[in-house]
Amino acid sequence: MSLKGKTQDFKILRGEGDAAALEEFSIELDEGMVVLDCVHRIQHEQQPDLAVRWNCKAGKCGSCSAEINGRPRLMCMTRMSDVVAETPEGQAIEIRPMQAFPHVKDLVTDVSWNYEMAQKIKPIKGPEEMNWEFNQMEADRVQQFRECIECFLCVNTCHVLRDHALFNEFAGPRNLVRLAQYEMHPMDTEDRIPEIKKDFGIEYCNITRCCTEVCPAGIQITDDAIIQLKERVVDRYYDPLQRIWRTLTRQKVRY
Amino acid sequence: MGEGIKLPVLNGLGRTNRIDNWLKQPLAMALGLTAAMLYTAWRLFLYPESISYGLDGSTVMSPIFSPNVLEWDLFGLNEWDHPSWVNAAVLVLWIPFGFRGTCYYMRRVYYRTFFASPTACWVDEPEINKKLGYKGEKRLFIINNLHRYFLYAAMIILAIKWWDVTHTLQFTDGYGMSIGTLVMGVEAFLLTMYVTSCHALRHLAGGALDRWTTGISKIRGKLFGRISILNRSHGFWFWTSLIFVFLGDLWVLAVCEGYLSDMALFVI
Repeated sequence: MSLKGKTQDFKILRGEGDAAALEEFSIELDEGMVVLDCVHRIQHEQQPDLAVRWNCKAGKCGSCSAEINGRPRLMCMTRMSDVVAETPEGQAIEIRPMQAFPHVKDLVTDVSWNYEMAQKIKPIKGPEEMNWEFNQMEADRVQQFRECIECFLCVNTCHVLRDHALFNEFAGPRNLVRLAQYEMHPMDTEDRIPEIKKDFGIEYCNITRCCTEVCPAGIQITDDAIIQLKERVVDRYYDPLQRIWRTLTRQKVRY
Repeated sequence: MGEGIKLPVLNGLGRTNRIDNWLKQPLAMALGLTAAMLYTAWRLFLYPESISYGLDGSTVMSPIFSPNVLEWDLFGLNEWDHPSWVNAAVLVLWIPFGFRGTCYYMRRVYYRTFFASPTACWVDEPEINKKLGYKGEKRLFIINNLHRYFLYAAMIILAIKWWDVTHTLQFTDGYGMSIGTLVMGVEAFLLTMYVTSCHALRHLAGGALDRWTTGISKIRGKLFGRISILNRSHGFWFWTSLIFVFLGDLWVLAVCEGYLSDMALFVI
């Protein structure tokens, strides 16, 4: 069904602080629009002071994260044809900012917590000489984690942060992906397992997989990053046989 | 955490801005798991009869009661004057139960369905979850870290399951196959897929290493790659293998009670 000429209602969260509330807008759609196009049209035609973050319009910069009909998505990668199809006829499409982060204004939130948490992660420590060589399989494994565009939809989705607000105890899915990327790097010699358990609180994750569901870069956050790290934590702390083996072979590790 | 006021999120069980039918999947999974548990309890404690049947010298065991350790010489189990409530399943079922219970896929299912933690993504949790203080897998569910030990035990059980399949092949007049062979064979195959796609196995096989360059590590890397492919459909194998355990048991039950009859498809 063509969307050209269809009048569509939107409800967008406007304002800041306690005054923030949903406001209704109506625009005429064109063919092939994405949600961000509609927000821009509202901004252009009706609300020049509507605050919205965006940059590349290609799903690569991770700026335009929002909750569309209650589902966190990138506005630039969400087709209007899909959103119109999922919204009951006559109902407005609701657009809210990410709810797990402090609100700044309209659709803009403050995601700086993620960067502060990232600063606590020990960087990769490899050989001094930069002639690092490793095979394709080893590279592919960590390459997946580098696909992250830092849209923080996963962090916004994670119930440990969204519902329980454990921002001091838990690093969030994005930073666990970063930890996996460093920890599984073939040339890295740094040990981050005690921090992953204690400071970054990997055990708070209960594998409900919402972060993977929401990732626009298609990273297997749960299976390839978090569970793999959890298994390494098990190796270190919860596997008596491995502990005995380490004692017998005199391997010294930090706990 | 940056400065700023948090938006008032919707609080309370099931409150969300989602407009789709998010309850459907957790509800279906909860019903499936509850039915599985109730049926198992009924079979174990109320109706532990009709657990196997013979067909021209071959034996077909119900998947729930296989392996029938009470027939074994090992530890004198076959001579043990056991209490009436003890049967093969009571002695063995804690292993598959533990393996499935600590499974990384299963955790997603039961945290969502039975603990509403959360019921579905972007759906708020009940007040009690917040009052109790969320601890993730640090407190009670720390037990899930035993998954690899249940994996070791499940691998032994799996080998015996295949051994049980061979019992359906030996007829008095030679080797052959019956419908019971197919039932037990498919069940053993699905369980094999479920076990070999396990996250803990994937880690132990090669995931624990960062480098897969030389000697054994190269083989472990290849193994990791193979298991990773299976691992993507771990949930599929979880459900199909679970369903087939019960279908297999229903088949054995139906044949024993005379509702259906098995036959040798061929004997050579």
